[in-house]
Amino acid sequence: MDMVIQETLFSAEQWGDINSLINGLDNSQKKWLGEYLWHLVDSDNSIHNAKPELRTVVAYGTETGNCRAIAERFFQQANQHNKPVELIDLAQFKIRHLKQIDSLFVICSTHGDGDPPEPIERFYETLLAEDKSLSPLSYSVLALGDSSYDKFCETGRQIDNKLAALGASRLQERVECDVDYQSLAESWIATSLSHIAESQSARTSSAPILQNSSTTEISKANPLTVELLESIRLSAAERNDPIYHLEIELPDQHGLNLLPGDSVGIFPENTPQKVSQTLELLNLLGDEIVTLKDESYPLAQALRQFCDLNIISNRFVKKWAELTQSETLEQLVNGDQKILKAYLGKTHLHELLVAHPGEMDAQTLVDWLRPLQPRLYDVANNPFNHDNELHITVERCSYLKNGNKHYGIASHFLTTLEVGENISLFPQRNKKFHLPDNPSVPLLMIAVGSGISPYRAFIQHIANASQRNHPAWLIFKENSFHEDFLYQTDWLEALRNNDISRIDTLFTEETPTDSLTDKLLQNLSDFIGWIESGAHLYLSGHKHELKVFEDEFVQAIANDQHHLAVWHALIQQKRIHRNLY
Amino acid sequence: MNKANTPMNKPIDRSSDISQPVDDLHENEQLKSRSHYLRGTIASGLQDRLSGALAADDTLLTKFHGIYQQDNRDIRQNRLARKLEPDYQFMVRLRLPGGVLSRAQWLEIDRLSRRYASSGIRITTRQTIQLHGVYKHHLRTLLNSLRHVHIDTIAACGDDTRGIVCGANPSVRGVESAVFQLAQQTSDQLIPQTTAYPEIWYGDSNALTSTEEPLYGPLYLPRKFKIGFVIPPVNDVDIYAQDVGFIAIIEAGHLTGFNLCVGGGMGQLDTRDDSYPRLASVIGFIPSEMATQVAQTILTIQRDYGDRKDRHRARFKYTIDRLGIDTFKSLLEQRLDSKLAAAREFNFTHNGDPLGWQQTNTQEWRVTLHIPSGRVNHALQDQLQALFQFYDGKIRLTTNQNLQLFQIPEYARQDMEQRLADIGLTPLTRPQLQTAHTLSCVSLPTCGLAMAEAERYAPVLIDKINRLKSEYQLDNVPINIRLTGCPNGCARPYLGEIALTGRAEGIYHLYLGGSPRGDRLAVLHQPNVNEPTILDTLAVLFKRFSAERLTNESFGDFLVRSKIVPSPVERPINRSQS
Repeated sequence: MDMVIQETLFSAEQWGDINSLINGLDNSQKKWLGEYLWHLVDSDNSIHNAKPELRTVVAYGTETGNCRAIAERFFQQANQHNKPVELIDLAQFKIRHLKQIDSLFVICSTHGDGDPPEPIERFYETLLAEDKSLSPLSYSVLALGDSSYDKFCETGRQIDNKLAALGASRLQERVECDVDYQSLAESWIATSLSHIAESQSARTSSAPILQNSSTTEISKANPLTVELLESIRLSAAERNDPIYHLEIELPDQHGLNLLPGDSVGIFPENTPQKVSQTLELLNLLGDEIVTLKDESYPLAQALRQFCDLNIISNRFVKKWAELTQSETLEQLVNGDQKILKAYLGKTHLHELLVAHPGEMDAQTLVDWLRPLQPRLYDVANNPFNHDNELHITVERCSYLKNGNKHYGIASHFLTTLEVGENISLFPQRNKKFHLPDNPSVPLLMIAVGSGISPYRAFIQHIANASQRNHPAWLIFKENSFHEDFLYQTDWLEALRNNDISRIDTLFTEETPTDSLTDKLLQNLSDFIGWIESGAHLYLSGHKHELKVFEDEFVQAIANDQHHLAVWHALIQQKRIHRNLY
Repeated sequence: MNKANTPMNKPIDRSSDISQPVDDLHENEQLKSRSHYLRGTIASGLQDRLSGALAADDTLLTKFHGIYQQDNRDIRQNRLARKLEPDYQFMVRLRLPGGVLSRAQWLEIDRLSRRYASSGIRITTRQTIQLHGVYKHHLRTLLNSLRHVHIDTIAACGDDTRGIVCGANPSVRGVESAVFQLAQQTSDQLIPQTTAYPEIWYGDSNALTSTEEPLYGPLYLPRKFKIGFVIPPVNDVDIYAQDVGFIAIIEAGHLTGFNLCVGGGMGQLDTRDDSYPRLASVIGFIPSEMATQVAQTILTIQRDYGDRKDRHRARFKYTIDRLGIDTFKSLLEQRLDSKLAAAREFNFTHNGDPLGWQQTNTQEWRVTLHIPSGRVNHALQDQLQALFQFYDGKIRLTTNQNLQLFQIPEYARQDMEQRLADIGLTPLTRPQLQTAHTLSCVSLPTCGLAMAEAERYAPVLIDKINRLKSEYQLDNVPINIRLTGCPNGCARPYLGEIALTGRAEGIYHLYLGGSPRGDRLAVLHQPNVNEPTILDTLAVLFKRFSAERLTNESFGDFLVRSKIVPSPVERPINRSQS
């Protein structure tokens, strides 16, 4: 550390405060704080104001582009008058975002027999069905239509009336325009601008609010209960193990301290069917009160939330053998431990209970069963996002066992969860899968299937953090271009915005004989060139497939001394990062 | 030339045509101008495997190559929610001047449609075939395969001479084949010459030269340009809907030439007052050997004088009205360096296809198979594939979207009838009368312009209209019905005796008063009406028609005679011409 700079920048007192704060932090906290400060500088050249500026949004719904053009004109004029507004396409807008807005200017057309523009159908339907108050919001609507239709400007009217019904207040009466909309639109813009205050600073700030230090740290032992906002099946209807995109609402000051590349641990629950099956086999009712970690629960709830009802522990089978006094079980637990392990590996709890019936009291059961473990899911969006949202990508797992189809507990739980239901989660540092400290080294991101999700977080973060300008190359493998190009629209947008430099895809449906190794060998000189120039290589997704890939790839380049040397340097300099499951 | 009789003294307004700087013209003109003769970045777009789409600019250029980017609108919202781009796919329209195919060509198109298209084969109202739902990465393979059976897609869409339609009428020996050859020759001569097509689709690399389009020049035409040939008394191609129409004149059993008609066009915009459908005007007679030259010369007039600032007003019909028909005629005569003779006598009796079996002047047979909405898919596609395993004759597509088998010798007729019966195709030779007189466009879900259902709705609507007709004893009276999903005119709605043009889901403009001969425009009778209103309106009119009908009078003629719709002379012709 350059002491001269430090002395010029900080007073002795400040420097003391900084040191005493930093000394109390562990490495990950320091790292997060570093990112946080970067971010703060990036998004506002000054520290966050105590009094945030009002957020004004010009939102348009368009099918033919007329409303977009008006909105853009609004935006330009506002900028010329130093009035900060954001321009938003309602097609990409969610009702819940309305809460974060102070003033809203809506420009929307009507089509056909009173229909909204096709891209905003979803927004429109959700808005009309909404019942939560929008009371501090003020707004104004410019409606475009064609008076030769009966339901002239219907969409604009409906939006206007609905916003009012939800308690938002009109800044001015709705303006309805016919096909010759120009002059009315101009005067509406002018009136609207008079309702917007001039900016006090150069740019609006929307940096995250500092963590309240008094809240208890969220951890596995102290998980955060959050609500599911949206569950989208990304996969086609016919896919057996579909992939879902889940959007979760986080509280304002959630304290998860996540970095791009981190995961969250999520506590799954057993299905009610599984719980009642277990209760039946054990002749228990479910309303027996049991105690777990000093808390009392009815047995059924304890089994649903805290006990693994599939995997049998070594400890449990021994206890069960003792209770049932089954000879075969006794032999098994006292015999060759390898055989016992194999047996436990292929036997579910209910199979044991069917094969060796017996009884056990409720408290003993919960004490001896294996606790239900949380599962980790990679965060799929920028953890520094302003929407207080957390995204994860979940692939539902299923497997056949003795002719019956079984689902993975957590993926089944998450993919059948309904919007509004709760999830318990905690942050999980994934130190080996963070972005490099150096903000401009190239990134090589290889993903199989849902393994793509942390890269979405990376790219979203890079797009929003001006200090980071990594060249990034995504190589993605899935089944079908048409159905399984996960987050395709996000990637295409990132490409258009130059937030990502290159994407290569491998879809097995189209080129069934090609492997990831083949794909890279087809682009070998580029790939080696990137590694040579200091790129960090990330591998994310199915463990087996990516291990095979790594082995195959190293074998394939083994005869080329130069390539091999480049690869070894990558390994030695710890520039390879694996996120395998 | 007698200048006193022409308005040529008055200078022609050239403020919006090709004489203006390109930068002042419509953005499509600028796009064409910088496209290097229709190349754009299509070739590299085909290589991009991250999106099923081509660059937006390129999708305008591919139209000139007969390729139209679309997406399935039914699933667009669902895919957007799944964070996937729309299901981009392409419509590929073949260039089949006159609509004639060999058995081998049919079978190859059939095979390709099964391999690369999503919904079989579609016969269009311009006598050609469209394959829908082709993915971007299959386009090159598809076009190369078509090339092997001598079919291309050049200029099937775009601002150029579209595939040329040609009517059928076997009543006078030799005429039909002579007219067909002229249609084909005209098409071959008027397609763009750019080597972009073979370069992009076949991988043939030729050096770019600046004289690549001696006829069109780098800006091509201001809009699409449609040419048709027809042999009276059959007006199967709706000759008055063509930009340029050649009406065969047969005298003493010989083709002596053509009456020339110009300026027809269907498309209109409901939002503009200066937008209207127009019937072509007959302006004179030309000897048959001049047909191609005349078509080309008219094309150059449209190239030079067409509106290139306002795309809607760029159609040839507006150019004619802007110039005035006399000025246009003078220009044409100047460029041809000869005067047009006076138009000769002719007569149209109907614009539908003949139903069932028909014997030609050469004692050959032909049979028309009615194809509902021109859709050859599912079982019908298999049946036709089976039929064409053994077939010696030729295949013609008609502008009423039907399939005609012709050049069937007398000795083979019985055999053919037997085979049609065996394969289960006989019912298509005896279509329900009203169904055979109904034309609809593709519309939803694939057409980007569609505002209401058309093809998918046609069977439902016809069923209801048939029940109404029955109620008033009109079962045996065919009515020329046209149904489209928007006002643009793909199924030539403004010629229908009854026409519905889509306005919104379930809402249509109701037009009435066309003729069964395709020679009179329908007029807007009721705007923005739904099915119950349409049926109520028709019920009242059918009742009167049934009671007051003259012998063999058509519904459209009745409406005009009884002044339910104004007669053509009383109509305000074009709203813009005042």
